[in-house]
Amino acid sequence: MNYQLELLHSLLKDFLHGESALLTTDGEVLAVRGSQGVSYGTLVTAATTTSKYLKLQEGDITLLNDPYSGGTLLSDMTFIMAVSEDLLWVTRRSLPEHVKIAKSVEEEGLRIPPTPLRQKNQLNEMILSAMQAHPACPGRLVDWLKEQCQDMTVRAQKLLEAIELTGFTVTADLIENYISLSRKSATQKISERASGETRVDIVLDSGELLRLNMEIHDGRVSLDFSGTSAAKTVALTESATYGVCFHALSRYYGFEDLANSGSFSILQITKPAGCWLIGKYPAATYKGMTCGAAALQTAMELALAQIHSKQEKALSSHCPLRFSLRHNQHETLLVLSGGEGAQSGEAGRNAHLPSFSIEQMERDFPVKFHRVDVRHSTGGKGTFNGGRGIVIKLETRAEVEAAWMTDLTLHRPRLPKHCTHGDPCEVSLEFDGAHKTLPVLGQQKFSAGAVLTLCSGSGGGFGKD
Amino acid sequence: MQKSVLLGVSVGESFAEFSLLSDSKPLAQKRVYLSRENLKQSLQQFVGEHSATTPAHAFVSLRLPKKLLNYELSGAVAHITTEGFEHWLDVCGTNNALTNKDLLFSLHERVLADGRVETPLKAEDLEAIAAKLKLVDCKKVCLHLLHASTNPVHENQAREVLQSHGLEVFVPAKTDNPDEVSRWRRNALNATISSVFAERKAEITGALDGVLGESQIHFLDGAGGKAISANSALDGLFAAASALGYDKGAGHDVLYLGFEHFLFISGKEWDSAWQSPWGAVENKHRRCKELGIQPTLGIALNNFGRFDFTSQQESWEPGPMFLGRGQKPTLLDLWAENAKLGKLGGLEDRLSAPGIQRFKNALFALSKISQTRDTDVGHLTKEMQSLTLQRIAMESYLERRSSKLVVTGPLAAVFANAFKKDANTTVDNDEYSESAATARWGFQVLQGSL
Repeated sequence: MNYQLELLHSLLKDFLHGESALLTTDGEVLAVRGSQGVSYGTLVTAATTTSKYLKLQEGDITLLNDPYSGGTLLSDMTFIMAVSEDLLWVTRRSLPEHVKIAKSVEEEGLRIPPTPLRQKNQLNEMILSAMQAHPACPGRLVDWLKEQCQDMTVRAQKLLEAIELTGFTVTADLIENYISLSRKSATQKISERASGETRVDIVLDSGELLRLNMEIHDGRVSLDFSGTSAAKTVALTESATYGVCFHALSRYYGFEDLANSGSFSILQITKPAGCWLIGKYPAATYKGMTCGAAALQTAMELALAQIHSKQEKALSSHCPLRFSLRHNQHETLLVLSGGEGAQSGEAGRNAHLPSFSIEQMERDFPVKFHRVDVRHSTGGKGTFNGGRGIVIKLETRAEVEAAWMTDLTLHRPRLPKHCTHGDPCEVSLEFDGAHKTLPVLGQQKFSAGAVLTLCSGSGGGFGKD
Repeated sequence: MQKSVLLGVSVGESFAEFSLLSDSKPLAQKRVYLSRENLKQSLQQFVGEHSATTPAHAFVSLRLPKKLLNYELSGAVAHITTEGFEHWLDVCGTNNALTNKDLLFSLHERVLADGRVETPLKAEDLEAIAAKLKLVDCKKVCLHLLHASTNPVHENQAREVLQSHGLEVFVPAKTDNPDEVSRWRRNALNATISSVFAERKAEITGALDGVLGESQIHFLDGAGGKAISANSALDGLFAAASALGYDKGAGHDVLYLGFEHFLFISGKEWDSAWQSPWGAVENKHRRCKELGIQPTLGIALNNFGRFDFTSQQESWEPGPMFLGRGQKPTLLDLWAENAKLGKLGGLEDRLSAPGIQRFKNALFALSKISQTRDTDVGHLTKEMQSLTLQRIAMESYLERRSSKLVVTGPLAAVFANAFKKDANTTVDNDEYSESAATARWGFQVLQGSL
């Protein structure tokens, strides 16, 4: 059959779910899938870092969550498995996340460097026990890890059976051809749109500057971050930076389903040593992986909108508002996404909440929800309005502990001429008849009777009236 | 199982299937293409042709067309919620709106998590809403009040007042599910499709009028083969899949290769929710998944400029090009000249020679701009058929939960070659397995309840 390429492509699509990647042991990336930009760089780094220090045999599984080894948030566990002697499967699965404001990555939680979890068909009980004994170990982690290992083993076995029983042979030539065609396709998609260069500056509230020089020529993209400042409190890792940039580009040009070594080769990034985009251990990364990544995504979209001036799109609110609540043994995180930017002929889409139960929240926490709705924005106006953010208003009925983090780019960047800014995220408090706006990030205890209003950002508008 | 004559009816989006079984074995079977034939008349005719054999019971699995789940197509539904949560379902959902903005109302009432009434409901608020609904001629209302499952006092009060105004009131079913979002969403969808369900039900009961009484016609749900009503119509969405899982699975996996979809059904696992286009909906059914490869996927050039399947499914109205009216080449068109396809119930005598030729012309035109430089349509067809079989086999291996797999459905015989190397797969040539399974499962459940 001559359609082996299409079969390989569909196999990768069917096998890879969530944030995951498949690589050869030689380091060739066959595919990366995921909805988070950071995954497009970190999953590959996780595999290469692991391969550098550990020799994985077929069926072996390694675990990491260390952001400096290819992890992202400490609550996101990255598993690297040798599916066969030629293939590595990297998949990321999440534990419940909580807002963590800390000065170093060690204070953010249990940091796991590449650690052999399963070797020669046996779980490494000694390592699991050591993890369990760590004071920052999340509850039930060991049982959860065992379940993941079991699931991964079954899925890897199915992949091998599927390849064997259908008589499909994944040869080196086929991989080379697939990667070469992916590169060609990505180059073509970029070169047929436009070329040019631009510069974007974004200042974070914490004082960091993000300076992006983008050049697009002959279907290749060069990003130069010279001028970007050093980390103060926000730090992103090098692989996460690459991932966010690649994801923004591939989505813009429509080749995100061809994320592999071929399409990766169209992107060249220059970063000055010491800038916050290549944070160094032991800098805390929670803020970087959330708000920092969102700021970088905003910079990429802005640069692309400036170069492709005929297809201008207003800025979306990329940074969700994260709000953690803690009471007794219960802890939960509300993630309020922002609205989408408008474009010519189309209003931005409103934000949506990941499904959660208000009734269950009210049973678990001493809170009473007053309102959950789309936000009545004042910003993001234009001929086409930006998508609205979300508003949640809740009242505490006993003392609860909360931590929150909103968009750290309240210093608004310059926009293309047809676009307007949307509303920023906002957290406000009403207590004892007084009303005040809370800082963009914080953690504190609220006593009974406090009314909190959480608003995620809205998208920018298009077309000035 | 005692010897009994049963009628199984399986109604999908574009095809309906009838099976008359005696002692679980088929006496007569038929499939109709609903774009060209009327459901009521076809069923009436089928039963009439076999009038010598009167069924004791009829079991129906009804999968309502997804497009009819749009409120605009099946009557307006108003939503009444606790004040402050008017948009809760949509905020927590997807970009597909489930509610009509003009028909959203709220009540100034509040029940707390422990069931205490904090803000009592005022009857005059309900009267005002009822008056507005009368003005816009809206007949159906969903009541979604917070913590009504803990203390339904306001829900009952509101239902009573609204019903007294002649409104049809839908309230979420009381279940163990603590998540109000999926319960409310299920209630909203039930309200939306209730009239369509009632119409379909009337067609089927009308067709069986004089043969079976209403109590002998059972519309099955997907959870346990129990009977459903118009108020719980959504529960029937997966009845056919659950029936196939019971009938063919026996603990094994089932791959159903039908005209409308290729569905992978787990014989032993269940899902408690349906991931609908509006978000998660409470709906218990056998775990099943539509494969990425589907019978009506379009054929186009991919990013590499080579032939491939699109991710867009074409509908059966107008259907594949081989039926004569379709404009886009689809996967099933590749088998247009396969003798087995033309003999399948529902398609026999419908294949159109000009349609088949148009498909070949479309393939040839695409080949001229493709990167493969292969303009031999016959060769291209064979290559794409091969890709189809490999993809079906590959995906079903990846989805497997059990060591054994049963492949069934009208297209099982056509695609049987995909599994020839696998000793753990059995190809079941029961072309009418959906309706037969519906009858057998329904009867099993009925016997169990006697």
